[in-house]
Amino acid sequence: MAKQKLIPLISLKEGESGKIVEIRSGRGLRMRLTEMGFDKDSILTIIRKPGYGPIIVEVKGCCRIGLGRGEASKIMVEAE
Amino acid sequence: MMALSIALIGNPNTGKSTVFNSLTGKRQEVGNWPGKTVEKKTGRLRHGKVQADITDLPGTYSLSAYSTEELIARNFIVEDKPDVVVDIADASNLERNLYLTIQLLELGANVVIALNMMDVAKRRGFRIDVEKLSELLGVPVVPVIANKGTGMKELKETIMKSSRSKRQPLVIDYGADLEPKIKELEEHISKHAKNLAKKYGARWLAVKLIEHDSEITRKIEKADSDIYTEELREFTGKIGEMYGEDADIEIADKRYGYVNGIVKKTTKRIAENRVRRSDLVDSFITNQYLGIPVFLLLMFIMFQFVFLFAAPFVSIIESFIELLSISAADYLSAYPQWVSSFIVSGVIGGIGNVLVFLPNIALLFLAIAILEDSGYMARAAFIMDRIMSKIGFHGKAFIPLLLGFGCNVPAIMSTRTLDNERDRIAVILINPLVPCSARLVVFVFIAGVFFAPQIAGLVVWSLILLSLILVFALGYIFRRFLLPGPKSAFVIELPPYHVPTLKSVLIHMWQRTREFVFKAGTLIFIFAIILWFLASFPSGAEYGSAGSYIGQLGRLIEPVFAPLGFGWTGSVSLLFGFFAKEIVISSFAVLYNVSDESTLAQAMSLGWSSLQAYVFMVFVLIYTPCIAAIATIRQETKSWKWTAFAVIYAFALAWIVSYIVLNIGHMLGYS
Repeated sequence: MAKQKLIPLISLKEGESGKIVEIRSGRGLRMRLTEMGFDKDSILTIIRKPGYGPIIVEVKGCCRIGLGRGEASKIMVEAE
Repeated sequence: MMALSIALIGNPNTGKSTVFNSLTGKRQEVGNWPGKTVEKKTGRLRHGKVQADITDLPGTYSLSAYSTEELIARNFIVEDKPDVVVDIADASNLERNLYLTIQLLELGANVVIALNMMDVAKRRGFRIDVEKLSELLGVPVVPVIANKGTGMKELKETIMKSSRSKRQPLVIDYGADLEPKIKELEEHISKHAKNLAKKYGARWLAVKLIEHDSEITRKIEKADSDIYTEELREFTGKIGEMYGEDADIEIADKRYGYVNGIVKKTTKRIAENRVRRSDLVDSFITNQYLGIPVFLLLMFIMFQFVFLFAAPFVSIIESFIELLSISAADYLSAYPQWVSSFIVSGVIGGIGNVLVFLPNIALLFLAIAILEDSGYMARAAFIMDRIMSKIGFHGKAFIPLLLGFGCNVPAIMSTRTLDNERDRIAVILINPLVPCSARLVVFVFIAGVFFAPQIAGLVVWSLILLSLILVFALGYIFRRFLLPGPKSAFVIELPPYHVPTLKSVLIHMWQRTREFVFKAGTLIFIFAIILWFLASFPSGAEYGSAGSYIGQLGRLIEPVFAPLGFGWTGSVSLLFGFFAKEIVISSFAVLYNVSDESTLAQAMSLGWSSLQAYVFMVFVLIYTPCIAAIATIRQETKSWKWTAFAVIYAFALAWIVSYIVLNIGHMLGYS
């Protein structure tokens, strides 16, 4: 099975989706994201990505989470 | 008969407070959790002959030890052992909500699930087999639509019926790698920390140790100090080596795996409705070009609404206080002069000063409640995060600053929404620098006296600009040097937009306003009496005159203000302004011994140059806002130290900036 390339969530475009592989951040943020539904293998979709500032992400096909760009670059995904 | 104890728990934005309101009606009390700034709501439910005390636990995603809210919720369930824990779960977002549910089950809580927003779930194409869900989780599940009241009767009945159930803690299989470790730890804990094991359950404690839960680790270390330190630390160290830091993530993933299994067996998605109204609205509201203009427009409408509707109430209250003062003075004319003065100027004046703020404060609370319940507040934080992060703050910190233009009291109270304690204290400290409406009134009056009509507006505008510069500069300095720490991560849930219910926003407004009246109001009243005393004594002195204590105090501090050129009258009116800013003007009237505004204007313009007037306004802008704000700072920081700091730094800053402005004025050739 060919291994998909890991990319940070922030590099996805509006409308694109990715599957969470790992969160490369401190424990606090990683746990907080996990508790909010960013657990391993969850699907994320970029709903809005303005030219600057935070982005809006869909988690698990339901809720919308606003995410700072710094935070979004720590979440590593496989593009779907 | 003993009342039942019921706790409500759930993720944020699941309609928990709607369920709470509908279970308790008007029988509610709001306070704080002991020693915390997190709001605690309790209420009473009567069902037939049974009474129940309901505690609304803070909204939380989990029961770990990462936030105060989570700890409060967890400790309440463990220590107070409520008879029933009602878990409000969002049916349209089942997976994440059940993540909290199974943690409650692992704790052995007697859970009843209120599956809320069944209508939204249906609209989004989810079909949930409620019976199956209840069977798999082993607890009652009641489908409800809380904002329409659907299913609430069934929920009450189910709560009552299951109030006597006892449940064994749920055991989740954490896998071949972790399970032997958990077993080993469990045995150790049962042996060496018997009391803790009895209270929390040994397995639960073992899992928490593997999760590196700071609070539980501390508790166990304390319970068996000699044995733990060596043996156990070595043991958890080994687990740490196995998973790196990720043992907690491993456990979380296993929990999600368990939840996933249940969701798959109980939920079908028959239609995928990708385009949502909320997303369409968001494409305007969070738009990179439109976002800020829309935000400013909404805020403008909010302030217009507040001031427009508050004005008639304010004048009614003012006339009422005046009427009361006159009749009291009449009634008391037979008594010594100081008695009548105490009642009229001290007591009635003091109460009046709390009451006169009320319409503005209550309406601002109403506006905040509408913005919060509609889902807009989270978007405002989203929009402002980019700007706020430049000075080291979370996007949410902008709202309290903006509300300050209305009144600093509700603004300071609204800092409770900030999760980061450093952000919160810093925002409380800089909030008084935002000129509230009372100070704007002072500026408009003084600018009108000393400057030509064409430039008076510009003068006031320059003061607002100065305040914005100071807010951002001081915010940056405080957050960087006084309260240093990493910027809190920007992760915020954006709940779907919805029209708030009248009942819920009114309850919100009523509770906040009542809290202000009782908590801050008491302090304001005490300050008012002190001020009255200073202005009326020693006996024989005219109220607020040079002979009174406050007049003497003015003389005493006059040298402090001498370099700024305020003179004695200015110094005394600043002392009165400490009480409430609008009094600055009326105290001038007392000091100049004039009764109407036009003669006052004349008297003032003789005493000061326009530069001196401008410097005076700069001082009023920056120094301590009023005793209501001070009382609120004390209430929200729970610290006299921070309160004193807020007063002193503002005073020093006011002096320094005024001095600089004065000298710039001199350099430009004004006198």
